[in-house]
Amino acid sequence: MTYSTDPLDRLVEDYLAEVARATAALPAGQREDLIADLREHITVARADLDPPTQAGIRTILDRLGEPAAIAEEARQGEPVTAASSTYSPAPPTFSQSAAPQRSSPSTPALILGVVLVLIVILVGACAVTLFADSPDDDALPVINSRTSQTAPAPR
Amino acid sequence: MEIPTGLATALRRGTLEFCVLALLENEERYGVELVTQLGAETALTTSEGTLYPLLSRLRRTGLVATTWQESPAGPPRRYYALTSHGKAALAHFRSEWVTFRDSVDHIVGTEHQ
Repeated sequence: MTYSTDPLDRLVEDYLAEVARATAALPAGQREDLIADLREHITVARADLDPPTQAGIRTILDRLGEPAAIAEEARQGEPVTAASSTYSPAPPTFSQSAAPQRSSPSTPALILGVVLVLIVILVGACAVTLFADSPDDDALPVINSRTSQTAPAPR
Repeated sequence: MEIPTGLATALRRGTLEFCVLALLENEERYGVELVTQLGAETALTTSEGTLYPLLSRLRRTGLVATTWQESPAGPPRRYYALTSHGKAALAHFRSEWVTFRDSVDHIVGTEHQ
């Protein structure tokens, strides 16, 4: 019997290290929770292996599945349940990736807003001159004097 | 026409946590036990490990509570139990599910299948 526990431990540690890498984007607490859960699962399942063999450990790890799939589940699962939406501090995980998306649409929106404001100002200015021109013919001299004050060049 | 995996994931997303709650309705279970039982239902899980993020979320949201208990042989195990909040959530899901299922069956034509 040459099997020692070392290669078995290494299999487990390699697997958990891979999970840790795959979940690097998760909040630390959540990630530690997940790894502790998986470690406990492996420890409990391993105790049921009569002789703990590499093949037995591999089966346990295979059934747990791909670290990437577990990480994906951890990432996707969070914002879905209604209960987790009350945890407003939790979403910041996604704020890193969501922040650029959020700021990029706001820049065009800002430009659009500024353009709209300019248009409103222009229209307003036109309206002022139109209303000033048409409503009372009696006031024409006054307007003329005004226009001549503000823009003497055109006339 | 290749929706299957995405469809299964989408269907699972809103329902799996209630399957976990239902498994805990009458007895406490430890993680490996829960995960093995759900993992055996191929429609419900892709792999056992993908259930742990869900269990962690259920703990955090207070739908389940856990206690460490010594096992007759082997390491101590973390046992999951339903909280009153979890019981209420399960009861709510049951009534919602029946309405939802009936509506889908009615529209999709799967009532008698």
